[in-house]
Amino acid sequence: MFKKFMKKPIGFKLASLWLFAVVFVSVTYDLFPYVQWDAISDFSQGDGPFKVPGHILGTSYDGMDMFTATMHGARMSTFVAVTSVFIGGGIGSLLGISAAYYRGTYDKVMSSIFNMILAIPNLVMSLALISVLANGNSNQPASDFRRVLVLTISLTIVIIPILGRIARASTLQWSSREFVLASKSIGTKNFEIIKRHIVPNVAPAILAIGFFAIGVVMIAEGSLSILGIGIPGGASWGSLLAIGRANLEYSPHEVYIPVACIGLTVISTNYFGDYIRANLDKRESKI
Amino acid sequence: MSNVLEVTGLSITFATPRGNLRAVNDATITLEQGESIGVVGESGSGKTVLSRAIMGLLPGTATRTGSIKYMGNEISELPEKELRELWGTGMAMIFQDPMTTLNPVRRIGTQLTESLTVRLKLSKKEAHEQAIELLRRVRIADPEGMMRKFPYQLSGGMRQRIMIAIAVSCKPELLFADEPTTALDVTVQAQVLELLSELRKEFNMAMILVTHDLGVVAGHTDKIAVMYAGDVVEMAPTRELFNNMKMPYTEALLKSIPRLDTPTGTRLPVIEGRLPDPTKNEPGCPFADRCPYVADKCRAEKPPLKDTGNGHLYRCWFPIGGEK
Amino acid sequence: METFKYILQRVVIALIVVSGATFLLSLLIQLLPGDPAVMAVPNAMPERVELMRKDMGLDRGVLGFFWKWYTDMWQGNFGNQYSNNDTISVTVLLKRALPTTLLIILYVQIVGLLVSVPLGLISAYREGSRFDRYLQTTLFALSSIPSFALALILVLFMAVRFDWFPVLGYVSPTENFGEHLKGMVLPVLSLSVGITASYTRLLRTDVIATLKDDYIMMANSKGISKSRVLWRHVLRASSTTLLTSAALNMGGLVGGTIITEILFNLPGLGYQIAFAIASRQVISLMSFIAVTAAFYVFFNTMVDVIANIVDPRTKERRV
Repeated sequence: MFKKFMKKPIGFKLASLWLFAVVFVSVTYDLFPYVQWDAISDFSQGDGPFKVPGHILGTSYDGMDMFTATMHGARMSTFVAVTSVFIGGGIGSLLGISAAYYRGTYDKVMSSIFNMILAIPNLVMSLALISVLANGNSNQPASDFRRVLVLTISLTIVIIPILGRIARASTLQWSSREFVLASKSIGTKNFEIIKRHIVPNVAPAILAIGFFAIGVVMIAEGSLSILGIGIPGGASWGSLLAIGRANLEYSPHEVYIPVACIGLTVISTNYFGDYIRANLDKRESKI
Repeated sequence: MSNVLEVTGLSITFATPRGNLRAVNDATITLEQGESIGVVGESGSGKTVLSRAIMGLLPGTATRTGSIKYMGNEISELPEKELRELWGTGMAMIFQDPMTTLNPVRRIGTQLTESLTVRLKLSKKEAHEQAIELLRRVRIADPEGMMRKFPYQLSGGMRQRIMIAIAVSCKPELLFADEPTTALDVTVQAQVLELLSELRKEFNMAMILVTHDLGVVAGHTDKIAVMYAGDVVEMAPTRELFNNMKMPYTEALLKSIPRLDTPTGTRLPVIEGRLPDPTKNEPGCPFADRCPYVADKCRAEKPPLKDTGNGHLYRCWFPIGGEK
Repeated sequence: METFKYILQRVVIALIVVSGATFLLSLLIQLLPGDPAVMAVPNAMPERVELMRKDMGLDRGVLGFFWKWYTDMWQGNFGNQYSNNDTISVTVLLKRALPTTLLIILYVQIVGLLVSVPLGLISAYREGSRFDRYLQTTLFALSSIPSFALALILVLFMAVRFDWFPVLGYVSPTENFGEHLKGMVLPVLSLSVGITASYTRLLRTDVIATLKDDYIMMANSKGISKSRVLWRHVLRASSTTLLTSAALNMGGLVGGTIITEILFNLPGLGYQIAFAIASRQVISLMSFIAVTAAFYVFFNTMVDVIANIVDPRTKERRV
């Protein structure tokens, strides 16, 4: 496997290294004795990276260590992105595949609902959803947990039609192929056909768009934070960025470190999306 | 009469991932003004590559050796920019598939007048008039209406007529027709060929007609070159070739044409076997494996090109009818 | 006739999609726990709340609420936005906000197309060259960078550090066109980099495919110049994909401008949407989103219709 990996293009290596690092940090954050991520340093406030010993990425204007805060933020950003794409992608694929396979009224209703949701830009959609869902009691601000939950649910809903439409289009393309018809003609159950013939063929396309969707969610998370309704308190990259924006003039690294993290992650997931899609095209052209 | 085209020792090799592919070996062809030659062979024999190579339309992966003289001037080493000067006005090409060779998003009129305005520097009005005249010449019923049409509105035969009109629009000295009728219906084929011959005589153009069908070239060319696996294996004036066939391969090609006088139900003889792998350079006659008259010598040594003296060349150790 | 029927069909579908989207949205809004009227103006007198409820149509039930807003909208009345001591017509807000957003989008598209067409053509023509490879890598990275990241970096360097393009806020073009453009440079740049990159990549792919088409060899064999082949034959055939994607981007850009408008203080539609959400103005939120959705659907439909009329190839496929 290592040999195979070494043969991949340089972009593939860089993208996987970065994503591996992000996931690794997110999963193992608790296992290492880092300093409390939002602890305030006494002697360093707003110092840039590589300037003060002990704070490799510098400190925020308030004195927060940027390195631990960034690692801690990775966890939340990854959690939100992966969860919403996983659940939203799962639901979307289920709806899309079944709609395209069974056709009829169900398909018409499903695809028009997809189109209706997609007609609203995804950022606007998630904004609207959050403002509806997050509103517990208007006088009492929602708890942090609730806000994360609401954000994840909203982004999940945004992802559903994106992947649903792809799953539908891709299933349509495959379900009319001869081997599916052949399988039908010998009396295979629909569920079996979907499981054996449709899903394996549709999966790569969904996976590719799923990678793009992770980027979409990461960007949405950052955007929502800037708008002040994302994750509070610097617990995610977007949130760090939103806080840092106020101090842009004094400690710009507070902004560009999370921006770089989000950017690199999006580039990496897009790379994989592209990579899968390119291989898919190659496979298609061979058939 | 002067020679329009003199090709000497032309070889084409393509660099492919599997190694060097020899598409054309040492081809020599001469063409006088107004003369026409048919280049015949199976697909993969190198006939299309040969015609495109002469014109200079090959992709960058191809290497070319040998000499190509057009009107006495060496053109094989010309930079593309100067070559372009010759295209359209000196040499023009009719491509195989009229369904794909017309630009789908531009009107027939624009495509037809383009060469006239850009190459012959005619005014828009003159170009329009001339285009109408050309359409009339290729027997399009409603030339004015045709000018405004898009390719998708036309049948294959119509499109090929348009292609011919475009190709002859600048009155080139040399016309390449690469399988001009292959993609067309049988009934239309004859008309298009007839039209080509007519135009050729009228404009006194030399023509290279590339086809896999010996029947196509029979009535429309002065001489014929048969190609096999990149080699010109037999070349003779048309009448001589049909009367006095030397190559077993030419014979096989001829036999594979369906004829009206064969009883229905007879199996059409096909040439068994396949072309040799063009990336390998094996000794012996490349046709040996498929030849009904094969002998040991054929497998050991590649036959040279022999000349019977009356313009008939062939490449065989044991020609049909014996050596003269 | 065929074409007319097709257009009609598409328009009907578009209307259904927009109406459906706003209907879904109105249902969503009514899921809100609490009274939208109270949330809009938390400390209003009970009499005013009563008036507002009536004005919004909240007294008419779930469907009645949507129906009142929907029918009013078709008469050009988008309802009202309320604040402590004021009631503003959403129509007025829209009239004020839309031009700003539309101008931003227009500039972004102009920059995107102007840069991507030559870059895409050259890059495709020199497929596999060093220039092409470097450009592709750069463009890939640029197309992945979120616009807010770029906006923040631009603000940091161009505005804060060097003070080249101060973040002025918005100057209307009728007021002072020079200042207007100057104020637009950073927002437009931050939005257009990603878009330009993806347009270029798209065009390049398409041109590479087109260059392999037979009719390009045919055009070459006419002896016309390389650049003429590229501009007249290749670009013409490849432009449909690019224009389609540009038009499809129009809707997405309205969403994309929200962040840009906030970051650069531009009073456009996105700014208004964010404000409506923050101050819980359901009527104006619905109206703004309806406009956005209509915008998106309009361009989608237009692309399909125009492609159908203009590009003969789509007809060929349909036959």
